[in-house]
Amino acid sequence: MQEGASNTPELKTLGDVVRWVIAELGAMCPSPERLAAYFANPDDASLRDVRYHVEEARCPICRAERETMQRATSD
Amino acid sequence: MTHGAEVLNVFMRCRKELERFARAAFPRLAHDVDDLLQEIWLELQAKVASADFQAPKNCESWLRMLVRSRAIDRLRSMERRILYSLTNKKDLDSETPERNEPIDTGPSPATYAIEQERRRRQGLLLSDVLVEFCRWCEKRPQRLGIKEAYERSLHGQSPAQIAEAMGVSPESVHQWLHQAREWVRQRVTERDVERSVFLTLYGGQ
Repeated sequence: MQEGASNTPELKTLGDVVRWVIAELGAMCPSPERLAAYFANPDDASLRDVRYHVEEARCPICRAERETMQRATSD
Repeated sequence: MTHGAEVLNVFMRCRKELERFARAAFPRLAHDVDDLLQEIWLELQAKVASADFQAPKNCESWLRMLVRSRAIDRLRSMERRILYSLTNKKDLDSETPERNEPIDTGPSPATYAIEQERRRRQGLLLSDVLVEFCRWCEKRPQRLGIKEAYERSLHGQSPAQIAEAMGVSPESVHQWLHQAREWVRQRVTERDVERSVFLTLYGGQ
């Protein structure tokens, strides 16, 4: 029983749990308003925690949102 | 302001984009994206029909937020189902192993199931607490440093690395991390009243 029927990650350690809740459940994601503000103005100093979350921690959910937004804008 | 009917039109127009977003952001839901969007469509129809519906200024962004929120709800619901299935597992130790099966020195299936169940409970509880923590930090600009430092520490950075990356003193980082951990610990303790989920806090793992 390494993975559940719905392909859920195996959680052996607390570290696995932390990675899972951050990457898959968006536990450390900024509020939608602050994320939108960051996308609109990435250099805003008051949004540096969002910059870390998106650019360095590379949150897959927030990055996917940006890609979708950029694609919609360029269409 | 967009009217309710226009919100529905925007949804239909952006549906492909929303699908792509859901698949990219939530790979585990790749097979459920159609269902997810259908549920959101039904929810939208109910929303726009209500008298107090306030149409969003940026409809596309609002729809992405809705998809994101419902996708996370769905993931959490999936986790709960797995949790219950693990909880209701019948006597796993009574299953007879195959005769030629090599001797397994790892944990028994029952032990494994119990541990997975606890980890999933841990995840759901921690997820709630961290979301609450982020909203708490975002209420005051002076708390944003705490949020960033704590997120960096969750990603494995040491206090010295955090101090260097954020351009602040190590003392500030220690203070922020202490504050963040204490905040999280208190919330977890309040919710994990039986002390069965976070053994770490009480001397276990």
